[in-house]
Amino acid sequence: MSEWFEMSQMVQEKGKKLGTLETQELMHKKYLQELKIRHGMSFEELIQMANDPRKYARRSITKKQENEE
Amino acid sequence: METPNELVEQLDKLASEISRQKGGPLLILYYHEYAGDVRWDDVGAIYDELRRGGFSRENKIEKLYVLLHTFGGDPDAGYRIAQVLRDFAKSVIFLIPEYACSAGTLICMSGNKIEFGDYAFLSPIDITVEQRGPFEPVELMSIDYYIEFAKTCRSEIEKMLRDSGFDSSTNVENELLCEMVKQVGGLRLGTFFRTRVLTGFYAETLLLDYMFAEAPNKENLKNKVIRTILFDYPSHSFCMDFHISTSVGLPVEEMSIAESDMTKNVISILKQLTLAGLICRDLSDSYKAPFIKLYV
Repeated sequence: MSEWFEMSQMVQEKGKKLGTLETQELMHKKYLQELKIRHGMSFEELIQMANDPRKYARRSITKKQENEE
Repeated sequence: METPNELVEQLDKLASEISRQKGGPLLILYYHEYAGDVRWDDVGAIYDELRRGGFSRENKIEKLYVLLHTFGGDPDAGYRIAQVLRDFAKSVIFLIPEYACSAGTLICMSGNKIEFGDYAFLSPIDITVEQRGPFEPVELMSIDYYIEFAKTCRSEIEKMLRDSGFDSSTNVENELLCEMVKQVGGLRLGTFFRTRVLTGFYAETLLLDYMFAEAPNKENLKNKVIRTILFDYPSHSFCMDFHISTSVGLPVEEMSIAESDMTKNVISILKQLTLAGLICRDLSDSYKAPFIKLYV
């Protein structure tokens, strides 16, 4: 939590002078963090997953069954 | 043989010198040859780097030079990167020391000008869709050419029949097209064409809003470029060098020899730093981070 918070602060800090390797280190950490959060999936895969109609079809079927019961 | 720290020093010195000579900040976007492709994550990384430089939509750079080196990647990401660059800069000039392919070409469509190093090139924005099963990935251009081949087959056979005095026709193209659908898959073909329409839309938007924004005949220029880079040229590996890019109607220039050498040196140092494991490190087996750095 704190590591992520510190990194976000660093990213947002305007005019912060970072050396070439420092910048790459910071970016590398952020890329890894993002990949971890997304379980290694790409944005495209996440969008497809979030909008997969089968998920909603299952939900509405379950809801319908609950209502019938 | 230089140590990695000496290489970084050389890189900083060269980049600052290019920025000084050109008279504007220099943003380096370097994607390593192996496993370095343009992805969505880069949009935020570029945004962050420009903010760290003290710039924003409200405090734009007058003239931003972008040194771009990539084989390409996701066209959606390419479009979004282009828009981020334009959010931060009133004018953008792309410097291509060696190549910027596919999604890299799309990013260049947001520039006011593209400057080529010696033997540098862009490539058409072709669409490649991964195939499921035992087949290799297929380029959309291959499908276009196959369709043309089917049409040519029919007209050639009919011509031959007519010349031989037969009054009959052929449906050879049906069989050829059925075989293609069988191999590529009908729904996958739909995906191909949908993706091309989207990429075409991105390119159109960038050309009209930025590259040809001031041109009186911008619609014509845009149409010519789109037709060429999306439909006419044969494949991803087709090289649109300075001469071909000029004939397409892109606002391109050749760098001076000194500039070309300097930008190529930047790429050479970045390659060495990547091999030394200092930049563009692995994020997974098939994914390397890009090198993104703004020199003001």
